[in-house]
Formats: sequence, C-alpha cells, structure tokens
Amino acid sequence: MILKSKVAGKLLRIMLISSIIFAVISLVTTFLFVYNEQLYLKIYKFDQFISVFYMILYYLLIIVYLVWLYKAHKDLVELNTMYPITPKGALARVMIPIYSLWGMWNVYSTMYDHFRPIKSTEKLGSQLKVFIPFYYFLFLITNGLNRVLLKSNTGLYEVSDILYLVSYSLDLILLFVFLKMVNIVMKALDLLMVVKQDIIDDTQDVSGQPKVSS
Amino acid sequence: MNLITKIKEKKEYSLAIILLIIPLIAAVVMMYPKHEEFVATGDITSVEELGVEGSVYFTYVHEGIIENLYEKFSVSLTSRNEIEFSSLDQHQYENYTAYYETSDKYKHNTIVNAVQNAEVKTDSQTIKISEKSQKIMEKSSDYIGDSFGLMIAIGLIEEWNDEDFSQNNQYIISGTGTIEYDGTVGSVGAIRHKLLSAEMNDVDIFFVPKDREYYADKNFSNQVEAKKVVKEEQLTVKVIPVANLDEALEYLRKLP
Repeated sequence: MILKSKVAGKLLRIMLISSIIFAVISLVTTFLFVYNEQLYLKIYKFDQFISVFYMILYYLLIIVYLVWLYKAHKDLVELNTMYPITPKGALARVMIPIYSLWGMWNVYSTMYDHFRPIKSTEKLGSQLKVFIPFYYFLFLITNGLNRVLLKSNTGLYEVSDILYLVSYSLDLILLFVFLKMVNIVMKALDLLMVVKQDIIDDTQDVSGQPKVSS
Repeated sequence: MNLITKIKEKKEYSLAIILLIIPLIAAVVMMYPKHEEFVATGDITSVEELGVEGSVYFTYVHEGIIENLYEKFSVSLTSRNEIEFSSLDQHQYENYTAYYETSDKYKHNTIVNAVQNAEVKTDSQTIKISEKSQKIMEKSSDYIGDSFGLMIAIGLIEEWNDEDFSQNNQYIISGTGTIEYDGTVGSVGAIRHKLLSAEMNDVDIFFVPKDREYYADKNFSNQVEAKKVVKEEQLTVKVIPVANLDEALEYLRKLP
C-alpha cells in the first residue's frame, strides 16, 4: 500500500519552507520600514518584489494545503475505515466560514484522538495535541490582524507601524507551527501504514492467501 | 547522481519548481516599469488643522505617480474612492518626479505668500511672519503641494481680524489655488476631483483660480474646467472664480 498524501505532503513541506524563507525576508524589510526608513527606501523595490512573490506563494500554499488535507484524510479513511472524518468533510471543516471556527480545531483533534491509542503513534499524537492550540489561535489572530492592517491601508483608521512587525512575526511563527504539524501528521501516517501492513501480513500466508485458522 | 536527475526522480521537487515559477513570473510582471499618474477624490480639511484659527476649509485629493503594476494594484486596493489613472510618457514622468522632489519648496513659498498677503490686510502689529509660516509648514507635513495657499490666507485674515466668513457655520467655504507674492491666485491640478470632494462634503462655496485668460486653449484653465465639471456632474456647490485674494475677500464680506 502506498500513501496517497505522500507527494502532496512533501510538496507542502517544500512550499512551507519556501514561505518561511520569504516570511523571514519580509520580517527584515518590515523591521527596516519601522525602524530605519532611509535604508528601507533603498530596498523599497526589492520589498515590492518579495511582497508579490510571497502573496502569490501564500495562495498556492493554501491550494497545496487543501490537496494535502484531502489526500491525508483519504489515507486515514483507508487505514481505518472507522475514521470519522471523510476527505470532503475535512475540506468543509476548514473552508466553510463560521463552521471552520469549530472545524479547524476538530480536524486535528480528531487526528490526535486517532493517533493516541496506537502505540507507535501515541507520542506523535501527544506532540500534535501541544501544537493544536498554538496553530488555532495564531491562525485567528493573524487573520484578524491582517484584516485590520488591510482596512488601515484604505485610510479607514490609523494603526501603529509596530503592528505590521507584530503581524509578520506571528505569520512566521504560524508557518513554523504548521510545518511541525504537517511533519507530525506525515510521520504518523507512515507509522499507521506500517501497522496496517503488519496486520495484512499477519492475516496472509507467504503465498498472499488469507491464513486459515484450524 | 546529479541534481537534475534527482529532481526528475522526485515528483514533489518538479512540482515545487513549477509552483515556485508562478510567483516568480507574477513578481517580474508586477515589477515591470509602468509610469502612470493617479488621482482620486479626497476630503476637505479645516485650516484649523494647520494652526490657523479660521472657519474655512481647503480641499485635498489623493494623487501621485505609480512606477509599476504592483503600485497600481496597491493604490487601487487601498483607495476608498474611485481612482483615475492616466499614462505618462518619459518626459512627463521626469517632470512629475522632479515636482514631487521639490514640492516642499513650492509649499513653503505659498505658505509664506499667504502669511505675507494676510498680514498686510490686518491692523495687528505683533505678527511674526517667519514664525507663523514655520508653524503652518510643520502642521502641513501630511500634505504635498501648494494648492491650499489661498485658503490659508483667508483663514489667517479671519484669525487676525477676528472675522467669521462662515457666519457661525452657516456656510461651508472651501477652495483651491496657490497664492503668489502679489496676492494673485495661481492655477492648480486635479480640479475635477477637488470639486467632487467638495460636493461630497456639502461645501456651499468653492473658490477656484480665475485663470481663463492665461491659457491659449481655455479648456485647460481651472476656471473653464470647473464650470464644465459642475455642469457635467450637476453639482450643487457654488463655484466662485477669483483672480486674487481681494476678490475672494470681497465676495465673502458681501455674503448675506
């Protein structure tokens, strides 16, 4: 058996690492914007280039994430037919407004509930549990902050430049947290597949035929 | 095994490279040089914000130049009002850049002219021209350009002569125009959007430069353009063309 989410997971990991690199660069340019305007004006064009690249990368990251989430749930259902969230259900949980407030937490807490009772994934489950609140609240805070900053750009009200720095810092932390979570889920899926393979091997004889008990 | 073979074998790397090329192309396209001027309706602001104790307002618009598609996109995204772009050739672009770089000089000149012109029309002996000019210059740091000269001069006359042209807020008086050393009101840009901004703010009286006679093609003058905009947009604001500060004061003092 081959995990369907393997390629999407690795791709997501590359995209996340690329996003982290660009988030670090954006954080540095924002720091200069806030604390050294003269120097910032010299790298203004470079910052524009990074902003465009990062913005498009962010949207591509969302698409890759949704593909991975769908395939990871396909694997979870295939590894355990009793798994309570279907691939489409997982997408609905993170994509539907308001419902996602509950769904975003539920998707990962269900994974934790699933990993915890199995010996080989118990530790990974515990690690995932630690990251869920960080991911959840950071996601909500950064989303809220980005909305505030976008509205301030339209001149509706003024905000401190420091808020930009805070927003980029939190974005960076969120990407790190999310990368850790993706790594945990991918490792756990690998281990679950090994467990499943062992069960299949135990129930088949060397010729691949089901073992018959006497 | 070399890197290319490794990449070919690993599907995720090939996909990642393709995906990363998308933002790279987008960034290159968005950064491609494109010079345009933009203008959008703005607001009216009391001269009190500039440290002048008058009842009148000046009108400002949002304007500037963009240098690439990214800037055009950002300006469009962050503007609350309808925004108008017009292409600039290299010569126009250089002129604009030069203007923006030296705009503080023009602003300083119009402020000094406003203070001096107002000072000769008041009896007060205690006015310190350079101090007052400096104060207005500092308070106007958020604004670029010199088109508020006339309204500053009117506001200063109100302050120093203890007059209230708004007649206890009965009228909302605004306008645009530079002021020269001899009190002449000079032409400005973005008349259309300034008038629309004034209309949006229920301005009753709006001064514009009476500059028709200085233009070979009269349509380029503020005076003719203002008349045209009022007609086209069916504005209710009363546009008063004035050639100099005296004409504006005469009009205001005769208000019922």
